[in-house]
Amino acid sequence: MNGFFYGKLACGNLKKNGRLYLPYILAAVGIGAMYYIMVALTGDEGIMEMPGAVELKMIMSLGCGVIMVFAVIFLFYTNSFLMKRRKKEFGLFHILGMEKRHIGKMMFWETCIVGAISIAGGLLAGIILYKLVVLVLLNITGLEVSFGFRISIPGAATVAACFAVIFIMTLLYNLRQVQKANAIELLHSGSQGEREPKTRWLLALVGLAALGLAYGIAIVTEDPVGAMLLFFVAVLLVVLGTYCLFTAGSIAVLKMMRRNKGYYYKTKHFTSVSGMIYRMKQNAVGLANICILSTMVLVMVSGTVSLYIGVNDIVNTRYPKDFSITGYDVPDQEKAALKEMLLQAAEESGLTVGETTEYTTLGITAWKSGENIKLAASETERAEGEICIFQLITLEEYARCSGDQQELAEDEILVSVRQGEEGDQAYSINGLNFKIKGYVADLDLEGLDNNVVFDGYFVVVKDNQVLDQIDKIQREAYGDNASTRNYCIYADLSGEAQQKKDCGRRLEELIEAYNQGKAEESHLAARLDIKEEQREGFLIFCGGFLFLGVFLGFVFLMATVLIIYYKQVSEGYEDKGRFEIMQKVGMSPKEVRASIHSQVLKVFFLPLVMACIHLTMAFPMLNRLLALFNLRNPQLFAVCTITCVGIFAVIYGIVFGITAKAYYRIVGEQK
Amino acid sequence: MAILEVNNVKKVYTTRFGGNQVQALTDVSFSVEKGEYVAIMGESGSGKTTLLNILAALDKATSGLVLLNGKNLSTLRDSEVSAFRRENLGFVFQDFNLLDNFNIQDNIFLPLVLAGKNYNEMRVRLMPIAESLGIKGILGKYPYEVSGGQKQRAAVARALITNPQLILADEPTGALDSKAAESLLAQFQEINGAGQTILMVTHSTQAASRAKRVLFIKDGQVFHQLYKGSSTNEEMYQKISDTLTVITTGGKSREA
Repeated sequence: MNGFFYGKLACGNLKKNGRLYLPYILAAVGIGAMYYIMVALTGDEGIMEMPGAVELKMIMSLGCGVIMVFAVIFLFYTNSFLMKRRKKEFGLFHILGMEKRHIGKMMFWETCIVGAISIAGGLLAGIILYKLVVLVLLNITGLEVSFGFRISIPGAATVAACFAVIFIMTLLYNLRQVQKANAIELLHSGSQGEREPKTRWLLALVGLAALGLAYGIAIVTEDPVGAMLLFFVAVLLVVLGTYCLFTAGSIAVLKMMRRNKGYYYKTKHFTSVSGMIYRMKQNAVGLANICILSTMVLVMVSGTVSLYIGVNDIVNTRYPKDFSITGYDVPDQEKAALKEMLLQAAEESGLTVGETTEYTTLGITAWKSGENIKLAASETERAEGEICIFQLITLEEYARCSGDQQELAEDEILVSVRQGEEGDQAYSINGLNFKIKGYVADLDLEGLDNNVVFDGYFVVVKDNQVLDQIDKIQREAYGDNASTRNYCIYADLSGEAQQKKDCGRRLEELIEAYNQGKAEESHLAARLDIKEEQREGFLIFCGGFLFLGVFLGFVFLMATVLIIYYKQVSEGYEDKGRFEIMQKVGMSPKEVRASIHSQVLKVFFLPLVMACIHLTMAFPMLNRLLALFNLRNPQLFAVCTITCVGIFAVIYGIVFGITAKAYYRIVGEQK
Repeated sequence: MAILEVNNVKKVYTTRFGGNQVQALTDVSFSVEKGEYVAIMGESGSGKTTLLNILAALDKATSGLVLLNGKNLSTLRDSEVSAFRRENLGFVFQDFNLLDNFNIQDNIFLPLVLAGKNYNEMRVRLMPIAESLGIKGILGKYPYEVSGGQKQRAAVARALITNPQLILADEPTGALDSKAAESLLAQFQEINGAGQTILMVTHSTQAASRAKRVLFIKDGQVFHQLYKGSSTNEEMYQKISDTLTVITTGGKSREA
């Protein structure tokens, strides 16, 4: 019976605070739904057992983790906001004779109701949306799978359990808050005199320095592998810098404005500067959160969209022709056999072989320090030198591939620099000396272009004897880790995608048959990459990332929206009193409105502006990171980024408009 | 010449639910001469606050006329109201109404800043006022750092700094302890002595006893008025008490 009473009371409270609780519940439902979808996707056997879905599953698990962590942070944040607003109410209940344990009971019921609605709503929405999401996912990854209407019981259980735990934690937190405070404190917690924030110059400077350093790293870092590592450093610095600048920097700047008497004592600036000082004190952290979330959304979505759109670029760079066959250490007499098998397989699959490129190359990793090139370098040599990759081919192959006829002596080489230093006169490879006879412009060997991580040089040597010599050096230097001499065939085949795949299978069979009965060491070892299959693989990979990017983008966007909403509402309650006083002292409602509007506008668009600055500065680094995925198309990335920013800004603006209305409703309410 | 004339003012509110009509002011007429110090007394619900709101141009009378310096308040356009208030009226409120985010000096400057005055002029105007009110030392402090009495004196300074035609004070001693109230009332007398017209609405007999004239409002009408003349504060206090007794016990109207 008693429980019934508290339940009813809790219901009433929630209804009364609908303006606060509705968005909270909606957000919880939203995150719950998204979490369910992620968990269910990860566990969906129909999809996850598709070939190529291994990466997809990994990406989705990553998403699960992110949403999980996010749900905890986010629900706690909103809950603490709700508590702040409701303390007065609890104080009143207390004064009216409710003991703390009664308030506790009431809060327990409230949490139960909110939790039950959120979890049920989240699961329902998740189950309904699941099919749609799966369709989208299959569509963008190009996976084909038939599926019915499935409900993932373990998924639902996971979500329910997780959210139950989160809600219990918030309840415990709230109970503690009430336990700690006394009635008078609770009653007056809304109206404590706000102290003016102190200027924390040190923090502001730290923020500035962190941001400067992060930007510096983002712009200066050339090496993509380093970029990957430094990226996280830069991200941390940006987060740190953003928090410091929003909390301390903003106040320092505003106080400087205030010190300028001529500027400060103007009707337009007077109320807004002083108002902003307080606003920033209360909202700095929230705004920094919005800024970081926005940046994350923008980076994620624009990056993944670029990758997805650029899939063809990526695949074409790595696999210039339909078939890429790499034979490892193939003796000269067997090269013809390998090629013969390709032709046979193509014929049997009904394909015609089109343009073909073939060459033999030896790729070695070395540390280059000026003209000195070291294989298997020692620690000190590595520190002094620059890691790079040398691709060696013979003059004969060079002439055949490029059509450029040159003469070379035994100790002479031709060099083509893909990425690295030009201008050396000679190379000394582990003591073996070569004169550089000349630099050839662009040695356009297909398939060799996909190394962007390190510096790269193409070296043309006189003949196979010289190549053997170098091969011997590198085999001695690297032992088991030595490179093989690769015989590469790139061929275009005209026909259907399925035929190409069949041809690939057939070729593998032929190679196996060829190796039948031969000793292990003399097996013909070759690797076959079919562009079509690679494209599909990449599509799953990039599509999975895109899906995750957009999906998480949605989650973060939702959070941003909610934070903006709560900011507006809480500001509204606080500004209400100020608004009334100013009117009494002789400010017209219009002036008050204009002043508040300009402040609110500044405060809420500051994070967006800051996010755009972050994004601009991160652009060079992101570009280099995309290059790691073989996407080297800054224009594409720029267009994607700008489009994403545009769309985001519009959504942000709309949200601002809607929440501003809620704000003015509160401020304009008559007593 | 009368600075303020109130003729047959009537105010009727319609309640939001049910549409009941509530008559807050039935028929109020009085006038205030330049340099006067008038107190308006009445019980809760007598219509004091409504009257003050109408005088402050925060609210409009249902019928009747309010003239401030010959200007009819009901003909003011909405866009003019705020500027008019700023230029002609100074306000002192029971709960001070200082803004927490400004220090005392900036709070006092607020109406001048709104009027677009420059900083040097504001300083020049502030100094003598701050001196006479004894708040020079706390100009840099924030409202939450000073006492109630100091806050109210800051609010008085804010009301004075625009050189208003009329100061409207709404229960100015209501939130002060007796010592602070006493000193504020002395301040008011001093200001009035310097020629400032003051209209004060109050509950407090102590406060009203300092005014040159006291109007009593009951049931939306001016019920009675008392002139201080040459009476001492104590004599005036006694007279007001007597009058209040008569009013609350339901005695008939008698002219003084």
